[in-house]
Amino acid sequence: MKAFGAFDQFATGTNVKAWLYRILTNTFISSYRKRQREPQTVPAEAGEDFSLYDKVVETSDTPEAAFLERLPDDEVKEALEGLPEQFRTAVILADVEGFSYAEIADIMGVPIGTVMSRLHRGRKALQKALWEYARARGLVDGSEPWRTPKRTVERS
Amino acid sequence: MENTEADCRAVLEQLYLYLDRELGASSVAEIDRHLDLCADCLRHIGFEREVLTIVGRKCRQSEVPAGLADQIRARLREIL
Repeated sequence: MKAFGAFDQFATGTNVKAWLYRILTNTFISSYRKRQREPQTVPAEAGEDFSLYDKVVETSDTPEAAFLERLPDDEVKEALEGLPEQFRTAVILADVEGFSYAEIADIMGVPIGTVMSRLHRGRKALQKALWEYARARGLVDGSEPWRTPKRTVERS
Repeated sequence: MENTEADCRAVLEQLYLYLDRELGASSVAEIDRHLDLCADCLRHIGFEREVLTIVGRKCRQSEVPAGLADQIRARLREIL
């Protein structure tokens, strides 16, 4: 448990306690429902260099924003849950829970470099899964029905 | 950073670090300067930001991976 060296400090914050509580609650519910999935056997390299942006831009002149709006909630969730566990954990902690790389490193007990690598690969694999879903459902390749007026990207 | 292909590559390599707010102020300022000049990178980064936002929003109720929960449970037993 050396991995949790910085955890004591990390666990003193109120938000973290709330978060831990929530995780344990969710986990209890999950196991209660016997919905735990088998470990994934997807190769670690799967989709590493995949770029959803390039794919969406390449296919006709589909506005990128419209592509994303078209993805059903369940499909995004399923794509996430289909990732190998280590990638999924990194993506959940960063993109769903909003933790920093250093915090994720503490939680997962790995160096920051490993967090970055898992996060990168997890996000790419997720994008690949979303793209494959969209292709299977005919949401790409110039499918006219959902074309919307081109928008400019807003600065934030 | 100006607006050459090499600059675009450099920006895209740091894309997630930028979006995750893991870069120092000077690197952020450099990328911001590039984005002021490069509509392609601005569009690309906007898309990636949107993907992360959508995943975060749509996956709030996702199952917690079993391994993570076990690690946290073990650690809680130690400190509580």
